[in-house]
Amino acid sequence: MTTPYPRGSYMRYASAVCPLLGSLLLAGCAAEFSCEGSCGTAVITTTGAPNTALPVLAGSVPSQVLGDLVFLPLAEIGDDLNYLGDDGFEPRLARRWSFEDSLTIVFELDDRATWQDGMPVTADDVVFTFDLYRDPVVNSVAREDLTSIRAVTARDEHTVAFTFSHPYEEQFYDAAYHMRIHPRHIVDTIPRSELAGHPFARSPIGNGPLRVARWDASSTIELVADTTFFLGRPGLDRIIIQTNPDPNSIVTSLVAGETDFTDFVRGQASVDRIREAEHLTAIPIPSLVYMFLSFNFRDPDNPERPHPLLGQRYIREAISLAVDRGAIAQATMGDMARVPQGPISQANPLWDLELPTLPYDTAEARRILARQGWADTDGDGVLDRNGQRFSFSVIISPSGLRRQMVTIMESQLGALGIELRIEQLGDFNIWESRSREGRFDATVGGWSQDPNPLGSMQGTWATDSPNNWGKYGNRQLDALLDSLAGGLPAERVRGTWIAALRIIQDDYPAIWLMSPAQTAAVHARFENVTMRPGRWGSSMWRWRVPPDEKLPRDRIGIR
Amino acid sequence: MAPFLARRLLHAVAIVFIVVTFTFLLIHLAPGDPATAQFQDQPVSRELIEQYRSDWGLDGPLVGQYVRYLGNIVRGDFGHSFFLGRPVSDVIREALPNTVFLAVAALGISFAVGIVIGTAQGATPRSRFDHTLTAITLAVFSMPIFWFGLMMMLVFGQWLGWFPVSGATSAVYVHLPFLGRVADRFHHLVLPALTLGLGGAAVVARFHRAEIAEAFSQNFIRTARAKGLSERHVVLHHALRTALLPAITMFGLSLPILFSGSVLIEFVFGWQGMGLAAFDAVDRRDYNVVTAIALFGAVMVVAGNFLADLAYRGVDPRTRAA
Repeated sequence: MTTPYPRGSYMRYASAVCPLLGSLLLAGCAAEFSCEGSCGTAVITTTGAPNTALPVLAGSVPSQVLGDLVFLPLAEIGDDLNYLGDDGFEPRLARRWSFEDSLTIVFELDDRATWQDGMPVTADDVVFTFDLYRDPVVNSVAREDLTSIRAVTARDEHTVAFTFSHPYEEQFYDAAYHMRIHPRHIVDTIPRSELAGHPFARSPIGNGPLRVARWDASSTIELVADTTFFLGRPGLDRIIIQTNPDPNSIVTSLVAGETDFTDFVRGQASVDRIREAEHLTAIPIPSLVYMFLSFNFRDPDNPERPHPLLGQRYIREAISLAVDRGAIAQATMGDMARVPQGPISQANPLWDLELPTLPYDTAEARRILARQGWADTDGDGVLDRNGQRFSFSVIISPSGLRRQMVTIMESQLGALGIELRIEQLGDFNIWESRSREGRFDATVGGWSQDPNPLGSMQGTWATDSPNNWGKYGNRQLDALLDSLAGGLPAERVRGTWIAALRIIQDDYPAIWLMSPAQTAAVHARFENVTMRPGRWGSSMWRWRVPPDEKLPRDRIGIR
Repeated sequence: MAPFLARRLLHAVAIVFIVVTFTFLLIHLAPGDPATAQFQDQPVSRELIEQYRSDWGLDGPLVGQYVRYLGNIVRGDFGHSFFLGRPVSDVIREALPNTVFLAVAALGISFAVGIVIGTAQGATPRSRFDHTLTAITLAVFSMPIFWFGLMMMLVFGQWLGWFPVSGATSAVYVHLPFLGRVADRFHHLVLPALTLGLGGAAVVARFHRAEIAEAFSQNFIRTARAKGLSERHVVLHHALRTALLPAITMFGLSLPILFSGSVLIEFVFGWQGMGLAAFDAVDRRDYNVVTAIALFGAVMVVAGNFLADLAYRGVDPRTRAA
């Protein structure tokens, strides 16, 4: 038999042509970049895209990171994320500050600070920014964090005073952490209802180390160093932010050298790929996220009634005792996850509070259940009592990590005769909707906290709070959280937190599964790489590339 | 011709209307909404969410929202993206060129490779060559496209380093000289276009093989051979011409399929086109973007069918009487 296409010929052609084509494309057509002095380009790829560069509108981490690169706060929180008093805060737009009395903090602005159009940053900008953040029309996510600030007033061009409604320890944090200062002379000319869609939201004039040079159709954002930045020239000329929704593809592009940095490498296999690549470094960042399995206190079929099984404290206690959280954390994330003793993330300053350890004790779990009459009377491997089987379901979003966690839990609980039925939902929004509406027995979620966890705690575990999906409620806890919100002397804050968290521990509204560290991957040529939990972008302007390690893309220079 | 065009236009409007209506209803009735999707793991307050819904006009009855939406799209206004805060027409205009570029390249690969393979197979039916190509095309056809894409990335991107694995252009694209930009675009196109195109080529090849085999059983082929024409001439000038007629219909129908198939490819390769825009929009419950992309897809299907019909009428006189 003869054919017009002899076997093997295509492959021979391809193996000869492809490298040739590649080298032609890359070498023949690429520009020869050169720059002098400090150079460097960092290509960042993240799964989520920013939708605004204005911090006042930022509702997601990618937008916050972008805003952090372009806009400064009055002072930057320290790496330990302390939020009591001003310990650890570093000057940014404010050169110094003073506590005038128990209700007033006065900031003196750095007179070298300018907007990227050359105008000076003034006290008026700070006053305007506070008004912008508080405006319901703008609907900033930080709006509710500023309710204790009664007024912000300009005393002169470079002095601004914050007045608070009552004395409390987190005043400085509230004044400095939630707001990044916006330019009055530009934003004031834009109707606030149109701010989100205004071109300024994508190409703003900031006061930070970098400016937005390009935000193009393919969601590539190019930031260029502001060489006149008053705190010193940024170590990089350029930061390019790209988006790719597939985490596996991001890892491949990191390994292939197309990307320099990603903030979140998902899954142990991907982390291993990063560690195997010589030109990459895996960096753990303690996260402000904790994960939990929340029990539903109400019957999902009739919320007026308590949940027939999980509404009882001893049941929740027995289940909690039967889950080996350390084994789950180790099996799913290795050393990257830590086991919390309450709804607290590992980067949070409250992590080190001396709380009782919630034990893994299957013998005690068995005793509790046996005492209440639970036994496997029909020999089907599942406990029962008065015809009721010890069985409940858990809903999870489409996440490999959550699937792994509940699968291990299913096996651990199964060993005690507790049946856990796993229901993985096909879409995050479906899971979120069912959780929010209380249509579950148990649900696995994760909350991101601010350094001060009070707002998050009140929004998630206080009675009737909007994100308290399991309808847990304890008035004692509510009172303690309210007292923290109302302002306590420094010496009572820690003790009050311990008391609140012990109440939560004792009520078992959830199993506190883990607080994962986030693994970032960065090209090894960068120096001065530090990342603050939660807001890794704020220190990125200090990264630099040593002259002898520059890649062609580092030599583009500022154009 | 005029009644034909009028009839097809009416059909087109009806189909697009039905697609828009269903998409609008389905995405609005799906769990979650743009406000909750925006703050995934952040415990934000109820008031904040309600304010967003009110700002975006999502707090009124669904029927009212639908009537308002229809009125707007009749005027050519697709609204704003809830997430991006930008006109939906801008989002589509920015994503469309990348998808068209990828779809045209993939379509070219599909039909060029598929017709060549199908013709070669059809000309040598039941030979070892035919069986081997059948096995290969079946294997390619059976592979999940995202897995095929990942394998292409792994082999040609990561291991061999021949082609970039992510994006429609490199990060420093705008800093390249003109020729460098052109080269950069094509360099990034290779892997996604091959992934999408080879999957399609397998389908075209199998379809076309059957058409060629069918043509070989016809009397005119026997006549051509009896006239002493070379086998090459018989295949290329007689069998292939006849077998290409159904391929025209397939070509028209393939365009929208390529657009939908590109969702996965765009996701895997981070290719910022319509597919990725649709994926992100569904994930964020960005209603206006989802509905506009569905509308666009419906128009593509209708247009593809229409063009295929026109082409068919052009090349086959028997259909003109209908």
